[in-house]
Amino acid sequence: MSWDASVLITNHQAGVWRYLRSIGCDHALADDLTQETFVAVLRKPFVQVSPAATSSYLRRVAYHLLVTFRRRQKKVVITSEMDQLDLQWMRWAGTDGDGAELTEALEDCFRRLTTRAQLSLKMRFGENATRELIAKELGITEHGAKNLMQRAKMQLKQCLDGKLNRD
Amino acid sequence: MIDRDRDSSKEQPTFEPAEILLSNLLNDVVCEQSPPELTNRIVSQFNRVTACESASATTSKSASMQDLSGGLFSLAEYDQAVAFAESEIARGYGWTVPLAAENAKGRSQLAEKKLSVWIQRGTMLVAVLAACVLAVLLIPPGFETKPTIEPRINDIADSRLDQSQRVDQTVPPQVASQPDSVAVITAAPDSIEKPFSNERQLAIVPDNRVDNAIKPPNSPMVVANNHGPSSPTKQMSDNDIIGIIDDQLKLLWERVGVTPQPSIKTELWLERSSLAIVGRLPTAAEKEAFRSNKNGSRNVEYVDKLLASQEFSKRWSEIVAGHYLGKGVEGIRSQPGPQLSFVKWIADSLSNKVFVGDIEREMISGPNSAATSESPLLRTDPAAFWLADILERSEVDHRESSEHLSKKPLEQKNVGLVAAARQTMRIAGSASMVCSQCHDGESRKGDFDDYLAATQSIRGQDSFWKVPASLSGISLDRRVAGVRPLKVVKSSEYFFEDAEGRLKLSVAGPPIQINGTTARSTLADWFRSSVEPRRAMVELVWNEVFKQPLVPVFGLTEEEGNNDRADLRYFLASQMQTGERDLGALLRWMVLSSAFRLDGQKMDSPWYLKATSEQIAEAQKQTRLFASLFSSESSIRESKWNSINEIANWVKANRSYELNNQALAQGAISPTSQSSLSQTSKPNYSEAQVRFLVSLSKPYRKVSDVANRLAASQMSWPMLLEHAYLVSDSRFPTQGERDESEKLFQAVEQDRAKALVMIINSKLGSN
Repeated sequence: MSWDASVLITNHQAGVWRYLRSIGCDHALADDLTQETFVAVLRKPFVQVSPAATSSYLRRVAYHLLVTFRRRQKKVVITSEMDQLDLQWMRWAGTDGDGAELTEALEDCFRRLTTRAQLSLKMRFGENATRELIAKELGITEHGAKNLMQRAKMQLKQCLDGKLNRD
Repeated sequence: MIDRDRDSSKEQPTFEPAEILLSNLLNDVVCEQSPPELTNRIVSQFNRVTACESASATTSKSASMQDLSGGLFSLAEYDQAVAFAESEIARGYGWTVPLAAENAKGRSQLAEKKLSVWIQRGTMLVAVLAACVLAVLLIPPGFETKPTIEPRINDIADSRLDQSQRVDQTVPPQVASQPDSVAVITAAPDSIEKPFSNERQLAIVPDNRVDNAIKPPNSPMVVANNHGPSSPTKQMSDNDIIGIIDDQLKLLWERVGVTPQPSIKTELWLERSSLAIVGRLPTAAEKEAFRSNKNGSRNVEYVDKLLASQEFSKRWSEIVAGHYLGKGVEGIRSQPGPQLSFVKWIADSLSNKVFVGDIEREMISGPNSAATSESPLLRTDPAAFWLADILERSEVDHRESSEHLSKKPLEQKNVGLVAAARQTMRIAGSASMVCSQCHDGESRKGDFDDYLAATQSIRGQDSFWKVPASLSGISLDRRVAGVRPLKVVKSSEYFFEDAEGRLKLSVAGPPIQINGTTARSTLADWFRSSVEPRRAMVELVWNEVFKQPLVPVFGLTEEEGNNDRADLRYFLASQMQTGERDLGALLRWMVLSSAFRLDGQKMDSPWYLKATSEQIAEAQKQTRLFASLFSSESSIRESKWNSINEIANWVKANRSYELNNQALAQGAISPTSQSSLSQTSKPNYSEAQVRFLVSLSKPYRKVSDVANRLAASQMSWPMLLEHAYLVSDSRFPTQGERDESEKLFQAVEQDRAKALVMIINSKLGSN
């Protein structure tokens, strides 16, 4: 493997991995498909036109490998929804972005949430806690916990839109 | 991964990509999960696959390849994924997906419109019904009838993607080719339209947003000689272009949920179009001629007549000259002779319907002597005045900024080209150009002699240009804002080295040979041949006609239609370029559009005091999205004065502005009590003057009330600022005004009401 290929992998693996995670792959699958994406690309002669072009190219290869993978698993894939996820990724991360800026922005937005909102989301997404458990922890009703999380997510979305669309 | 907060048992969840993406991202953020280091794993797998591949080549056992390598995919699947990605990106994958799919639908809107007109009129209804019955009886089963009314063809869409391509773009071809394992549900075109569910007749498929920068790595490199977009846009008829303006805005309103204002009366449109084209209200004779014209296309005839007049070329030559020179020349009579010649040269060009690209090429490719001219005022060639003017100003700038620069002749510094580049970039896309020696944040001492050896950055919200240094053949790289405004990137990553070690562009752009003798002429040719510079002209004209920029430099949110507006601007620019149309054609498209006929809310002080917060927010939204148009003529009509001329005459006669403005504002002086009215001749004021004079009758005493009312709301400061300008000047603030207002806001310690009072008063000219 040439030096350029190593550089390519080093520079772009995080972006591909984040992209795959964001469109619904779990950790293991994201690892596997990131690996396979680079293998697929590097099998052919590769000329780097620009990082932006390469980034887009790698994402599309990863996308098609994911579709192929799920098709082989006999899983239903609605490609239009995947396209919309892909488009949303580009809106937030940019076409040439590796997602680092997006993640940083989300972290920053997350820190701006209230402590209760942060806690609820941490329990939900970090600990996979049920809504009932979250409600009990926060001393609110289950319905209140649901509303709290939905509001928090809406705030995060608006914050991301503001940060990434108004730069 | 699914959205965990949805209760799927109750109802079918709607697909919200942003929400799902956010949920997926949150998993990693709350767990502080960062991407793993996979380099070794990838390398080893790659080596394994390569080894298996070569082994299979010798033993012809390709079937076991996948098993041997332990990978997830076979070689054929690898190749397939790569091929699909390349073909998608080659077609400009990115922004075309939803809009292209949208084009697949909504072709019948015009047919429906026309049909509904027939039905409304009640004519031929019986005949249609009879024909339908007859058709049903006569047409054999399975026969597909053609629409009776041919819809307009979306030339833009067709030039990029035909029907099959649209499907291919969203549905990977491998799915369709393997129907035996129908694990992938290919979305029908209708289902792709979720974000834009409403029908529209025509849609814009932009092809040179960021996707211009996206090229498959294996495709031929885009070299500097490749100017402009790769796929030429078809020329469309004026009616289609106007239809697309309407449809694009309509799409935006529907998506954002804004209800446009009703259309204005014809007479008001007459006034509005006159103000836009020739800068004055229509004369009584013009109105009468218009009324007596019973032709169905009298609007078009009226606009064409105005565009053919000298008034049009005079008014717009001043606007365009001011745009090129970067300073206002409108209404200034005591201009230097060469400058007047320059304005007149542009006026002649407009009269002769000269293509804007030709005007700009002429200006940029001025003779080399212009670069060494002593003064632009000595220039006799009108076209070269522009270059000489900016050169002189650049020289002054450099002398002021760095003394040692002035010690060497300008030719050595090649300041001329830098200045020309800077000014042309400003023209091309409201992009500013700064020297990265200081503006990149890294102050590099020494080496200052080689001014051009330092990297030049041309920055703007809308575009980003970067000029690498120390190259014999230098190129400007340009990235157009796509989904979101771009951030300035300080590296030269948009360039790549070719096989011969030369730095080249990753996208097409204007080539500039710094050391070459044809530098300016090459740049001039690019201005003539590329669609990009036309965008600035579209922006200029749109701003003048609709009183706010189409794509502001300060950026818009997705909700404010950043993408839709950018698409529309690019579309108009491309049509202008393709048809080599003059400025008058551009103006004609805008003035004849339906958006230009929309009524405007009178957002004056009394309105602000009465309106609820929701009404204020809605009005701002409507205005921002062109669903409600500024209406200076309605202000004139509803003024307590009988006519604007009376106010103008009175002000002109009394001259003492400051004193009498207050008296006017407080209503102490009525127009009928002015004896001096008859002493003055009939004035002929520009629109700006009319606006100012009308503003004199506004109730100043309510300024503080309005400011307090606005300040008490929950709106953010930028939003408050927009309202302050709406109420005081019937427009949105410019970027410069926003910056200044921000300073003022900080200076008054963020006292919102105080700052608003000061801003509104500064616009009204009184306290």
